[in-house]
Amino acid sequence: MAQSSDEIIKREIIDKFGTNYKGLSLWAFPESSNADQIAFGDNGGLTFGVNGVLYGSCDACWVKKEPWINPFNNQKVSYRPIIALEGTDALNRKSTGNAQYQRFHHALGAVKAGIIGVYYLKKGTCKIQEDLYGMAYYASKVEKGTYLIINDLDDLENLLDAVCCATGLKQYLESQQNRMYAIFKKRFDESYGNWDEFAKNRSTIIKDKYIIKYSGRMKRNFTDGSQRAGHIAVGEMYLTKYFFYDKHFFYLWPKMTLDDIDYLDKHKKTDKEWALLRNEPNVTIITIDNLNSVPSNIIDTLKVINDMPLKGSALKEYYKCMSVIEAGLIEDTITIDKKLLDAKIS
Amino acid sequence: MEINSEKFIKILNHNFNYPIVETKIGKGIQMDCRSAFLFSLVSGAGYLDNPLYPFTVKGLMKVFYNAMDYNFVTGLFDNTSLKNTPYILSKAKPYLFNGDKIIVPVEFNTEMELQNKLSDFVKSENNSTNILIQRIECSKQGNGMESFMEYLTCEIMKRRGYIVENQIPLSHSTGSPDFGGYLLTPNVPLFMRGIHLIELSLLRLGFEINNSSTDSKMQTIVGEAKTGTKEMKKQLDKYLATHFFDEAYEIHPFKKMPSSSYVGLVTIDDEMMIKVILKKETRKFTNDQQRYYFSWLTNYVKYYLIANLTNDELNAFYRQNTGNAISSRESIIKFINGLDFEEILAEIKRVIADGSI
Repeated sequence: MAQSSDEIIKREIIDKFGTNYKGLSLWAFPESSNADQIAFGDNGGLTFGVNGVLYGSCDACWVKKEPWINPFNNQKVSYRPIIALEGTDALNRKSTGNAQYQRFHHALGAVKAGIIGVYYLKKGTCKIQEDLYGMAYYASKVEKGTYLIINDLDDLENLLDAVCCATGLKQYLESQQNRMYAIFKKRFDESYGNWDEFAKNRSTIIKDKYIIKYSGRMKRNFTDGSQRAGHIAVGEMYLTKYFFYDKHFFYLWPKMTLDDIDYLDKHKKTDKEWALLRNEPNVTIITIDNLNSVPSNIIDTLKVINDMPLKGSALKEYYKCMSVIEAGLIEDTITIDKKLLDAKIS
Repeated sequence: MEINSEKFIKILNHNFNYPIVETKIGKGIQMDCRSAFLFSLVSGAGYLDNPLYPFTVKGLMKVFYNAMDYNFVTGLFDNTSLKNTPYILSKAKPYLFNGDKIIVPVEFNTEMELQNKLSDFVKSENNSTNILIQRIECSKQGNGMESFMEYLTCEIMKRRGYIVENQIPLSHSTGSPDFGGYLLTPNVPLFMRGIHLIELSLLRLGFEINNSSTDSKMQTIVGEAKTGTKEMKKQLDKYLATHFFDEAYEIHPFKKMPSSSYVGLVTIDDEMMIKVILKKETRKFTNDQQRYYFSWLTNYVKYYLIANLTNDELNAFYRQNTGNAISSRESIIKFINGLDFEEILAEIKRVIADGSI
């Protein structure tokens, strides 16, 4: 087996910055260990979270020896995390699309916990999706910490330097936020121009107080580990959540039923990605059962294709169904169950 | 039963006569730098250049993702360039091929415990890169010693003449077997026997291969290592189903007998001696597919020889043969596959004679 993406990133970081950078100690753990998977604490751990919910694990973290209360479990830790970094060599591995979003939540835990989260996509043959910069920009607006997307370790060096001379840090982070927003906005303007056009093109319906984003997920995507549906769905969720951060987000999976969700709740209790999907504030997963007034022929068709991958005739049928459901949701002839809607957006 | 520090020391000492030495961090095994390099490559033991993430060459020197095709993984090559060759690494990290090394097994329960232990040691030791740390992870079933078992299998199968490697390329659907051994004469020159594949890339550094044999035999073997569970047969069945391999071995430190009459076993006896139990059944697993695999393997070893060159030398060699500069991965693959061994070895001799070691 060749060197993994994580190994390449960790080695690159240690080669450039050593194990201590201007008073900040580096934490990183070998791949064979599970020490990065546990919650940040005195015994290691590179996974951050808040209020009992843990996000993905990071690859490295720079810490200071001073007390810190971990908002995940309110426990006192002898080290304060300053920068947590999730890295990937995906740009060298033909990762052009949503695979880049799949790891967004790894550094997000640190951002939610109030520190600086960095998602480092090592320069390669593919480019970083501009949406990712937008997600990080809006996440920084909403969450307690700051989220940065970088593809060059020189940027990380500048960040470490800024952290070490604390007076320039605020200014540096602002300049990085502006840089990310500019990249995102340029592409957004070229592709969509406005949010209504974005919504039309991205399976999204915008309402006054909420938005609905639909996706063809099926139960098997989550029960078959090789499909990485959890990671993909989490990436999609954060993209939509942060782009529409001031609205409630209903994540509609019309091929699934409430029984399917119930099954996954019972059988995926220890699955980190499933936990994020189910516990993310301001996000609610809904299924065909949560919609009123869907024509019965549409429900029947969705039942037929509910376990089929979306390709060929199944994809055609899905598109047909979704054009009816989407039009109905836009015109309010199809609605989200009122009780649920009231509970979420009141 | 698990391999702990004490058993680790005994196994290496009893089977290979490596001397036992004392260090400030505990007992270790002394090896020459070439042997230590091979140990790191297979087992993942790290040179103590820092206490946090000791440098290992494991996984750095692979060539292809899968067998039977020529899709480069970042390793010896990176697209059209040579990247992590021993020669290039020796320039960046001269300690790798300098002086004897000591492999020290360290038992630990948490990473922080290990890091603190290594930090204290590095502070008190001037020459810490001469120490390699063998992680013994007491919190894991079998102490996480699969790679060590792969190392022992490589070494024991070298004695039987095989060209060996661990984590071998096969296919995405079958996964990477933990061990592979190849007898490839007369397809490859006679000296290519009883070596680790990477040793072909060490010629430039002055490490010669002095094996010789008149044996002419084409054979391939495969193995799967475990130290926790004893279930390996399922995986071996998958490998055998490719029809590439003549023999398959379970690799387990304390399993007494193979799971089936058609697989062999590499294990360790009570005296800490490596023991190879051959399969009992003479069932044939190979078919015509193996001929294609042999052809692919014959090309495969050429890439390890090419890794003796620098990028400038490879470019010049390519230009001299084709009249062009290297333009793509496809062109470099076509070029290397089209070379015969005499041409490559002559070029290596030429650059070495130029004195550019």
